[in-house]
Amino acid sequence: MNILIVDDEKSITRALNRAFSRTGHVVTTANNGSSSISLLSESSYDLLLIDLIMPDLTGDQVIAWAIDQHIQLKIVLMTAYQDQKIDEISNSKKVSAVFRKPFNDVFALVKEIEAIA
Amino acid sequence: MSTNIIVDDNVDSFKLSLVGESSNFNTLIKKLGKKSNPTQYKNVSELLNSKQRSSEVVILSEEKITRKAIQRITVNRPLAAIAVLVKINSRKNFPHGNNHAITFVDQRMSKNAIRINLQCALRVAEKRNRLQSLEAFLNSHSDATCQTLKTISESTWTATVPANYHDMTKSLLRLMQRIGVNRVLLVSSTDTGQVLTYESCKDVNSVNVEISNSKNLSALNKLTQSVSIVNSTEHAHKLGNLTDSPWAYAMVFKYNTPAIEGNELQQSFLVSFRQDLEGFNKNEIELASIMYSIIGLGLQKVAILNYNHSAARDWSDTFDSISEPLSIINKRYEIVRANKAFSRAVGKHITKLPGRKCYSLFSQRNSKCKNCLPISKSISSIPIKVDGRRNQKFYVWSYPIKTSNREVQRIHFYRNISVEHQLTTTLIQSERMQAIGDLLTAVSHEINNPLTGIISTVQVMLAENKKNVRTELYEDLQEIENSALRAVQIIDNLLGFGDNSTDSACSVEEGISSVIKFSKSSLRSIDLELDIDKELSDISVSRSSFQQILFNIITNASNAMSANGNLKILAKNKESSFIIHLEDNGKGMSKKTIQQIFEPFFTQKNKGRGTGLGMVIVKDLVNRMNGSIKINSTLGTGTSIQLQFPKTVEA
Repeated sequence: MNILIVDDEKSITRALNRAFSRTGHVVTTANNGSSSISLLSESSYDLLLIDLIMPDLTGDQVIAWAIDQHIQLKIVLMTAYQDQKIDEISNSKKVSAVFRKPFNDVFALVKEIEAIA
Repeated sequence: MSTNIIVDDNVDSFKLSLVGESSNFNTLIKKLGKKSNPTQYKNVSELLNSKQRSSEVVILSEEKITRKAIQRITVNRPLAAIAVLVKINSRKNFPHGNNHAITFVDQRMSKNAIRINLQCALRVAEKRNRLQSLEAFLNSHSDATCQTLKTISESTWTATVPANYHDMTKSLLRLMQRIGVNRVLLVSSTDTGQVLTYESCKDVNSVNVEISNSKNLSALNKLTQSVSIVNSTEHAHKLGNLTDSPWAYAMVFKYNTPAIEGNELQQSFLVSFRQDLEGFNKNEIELASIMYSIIGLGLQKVAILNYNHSAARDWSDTFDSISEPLSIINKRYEIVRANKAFSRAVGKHITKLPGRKCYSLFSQRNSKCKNCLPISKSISSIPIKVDGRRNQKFYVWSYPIKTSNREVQRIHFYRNISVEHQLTTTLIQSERMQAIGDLLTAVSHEINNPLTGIISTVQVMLAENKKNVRTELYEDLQEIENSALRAVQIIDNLLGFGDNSTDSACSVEEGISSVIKFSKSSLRSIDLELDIDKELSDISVSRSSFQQILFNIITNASNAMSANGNLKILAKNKESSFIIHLEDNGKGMSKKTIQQIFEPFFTQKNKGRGTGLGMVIVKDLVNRMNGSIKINSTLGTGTSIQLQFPKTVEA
């Protein structure tokens, strides 16, 4: 699976990169919204694992852009915030799943995401 | 009245205090003799600096008679009978030379009353001058004199005898009986008065009393009575006209009685007798005259005291009916009087209050309360906040008492605001908790992100090192993972202040063991005693809440203990609840600290070490689990904390 992981917390993208890579996936990472958009417009991915709150563009802005561009891929959101917005986003058909940070077990997360894809 | 009356041998309880130029008292002291042993004071201040003697007659010399002087004595020596010595030097009225008259005065008397009193005294002195043999006569009637004096003196400080018309009449009759009068006509204008008079006379058998209605005065042509007592000036004149006889002496005392059913009743007493009365010699008549003037004064005084007394009682009843404490304070912050609610608030009997400092009684302070303005200056009606007994809070309003001629006094009105204070405190507390909650939410989210990185990274590293499970690196990584996961748990608890709905369950025993495992490093040098009832392995609790509670308490305990630390953890199974008892031998806490322990951001740890939230979280979690927490601590010996949880709360 070709995955794009976006999070402004470098330690997270780095760890997730290694966790997904270990299970045989191809991982690309980005640490802000705008670079994720350039990556999405340049290449195609099977799955987007994206953080909600980021300094430049938020996760849902990136998602909205991707939908607007008819980019076909599964979308999984992660967030450390409890917000009504999350419920709205997770209810939208475009988002396959929302994961709450911190994850107690990163490999369990990998497995769940594999199941979605 | 004449001076030798006062020092009658039978009146042994009197102590005389003479105030004024000592030369003024020369004659008096000579007449009194050595027995009287009066104490002399130059002025009122000197007298007031001396010790109060209960049965005291204070005689002021003429130059010291001012209303202010009399008031000062009355206020400061309520038990003293005050008299004034008046020099009579009118040759015309008193052909026998300089004489002194003494009259009792009372601060409560009106100016007019004092004037009347003085006039009476002068007239008495006049009589006395005219009667050469009076002194001898008075001595031979010392019993009666004594009685008369007693009537006056007692009324001075008890205000109970004679208490009413009935008693007054009786006293008069008794006195007449003593001095040998055996026929009396009593005239009253009302039927009630007649009944009262009749009732009064029943006890005094040996005096032949005729009672008449004043309407029938004209029928009293054939006056055979020796002494007539009527109750109005008008009647006296009528009587005088009727009999057409010279009146040796007639005196009318008027006083206003307290309103009876809304009508103010003016009572007048006339004490009169005729000079040519059959069966009396001149001296006896003169004596009677003096007696009557004395008793008249007494009656007037009694009437005034009665009036004041009942008025005072009305007031004190009113005061006592007010359920909030009230007190009257003088400018030295001493209580002049206070109501029953005040007495209850300070836990002292109402009679023990006067003279005590308000701040020491009410707030157990050594100096005036904070923000209390000087008594003489304060005009503010803004209340000040003071502490009462048992942590009660009061607002005090202070109002000046507007009396032109008294020393400055204020009335203090106290309102218990403990409940409001508690509510306000709770409100502030809950607002503070809200602020903390917001802060924690923001902070914990910021922490969650890096924590996610740590946990994920460590888990990846663990996965990469699976082949080297036995190495120290692997164990270190495990330690990092555990710590990071615990941090997650702590943040979870801080967040939402423990929305423990998602909390998993564990048994009490498991909960305790796991926390001890967590706390191993902090409990390293501490002797741990563990006693857990076996039944508790079947009782389940919310895992992370329970762990968090114990963890915070144990952390505090280990921080409080130095070398030779000993921590006992007892878990006891009860019928519908279970108890966790944690006891350390650490440095303990003061009462003040215990009160603050649940306040957010209160910490005893070194700066930067404690958050001041540990026990706040404990209390919050305990409340959420419907449990209770009790803390006992003695500074220097240790702290014990008892937690009780209902068994019904199962995760």
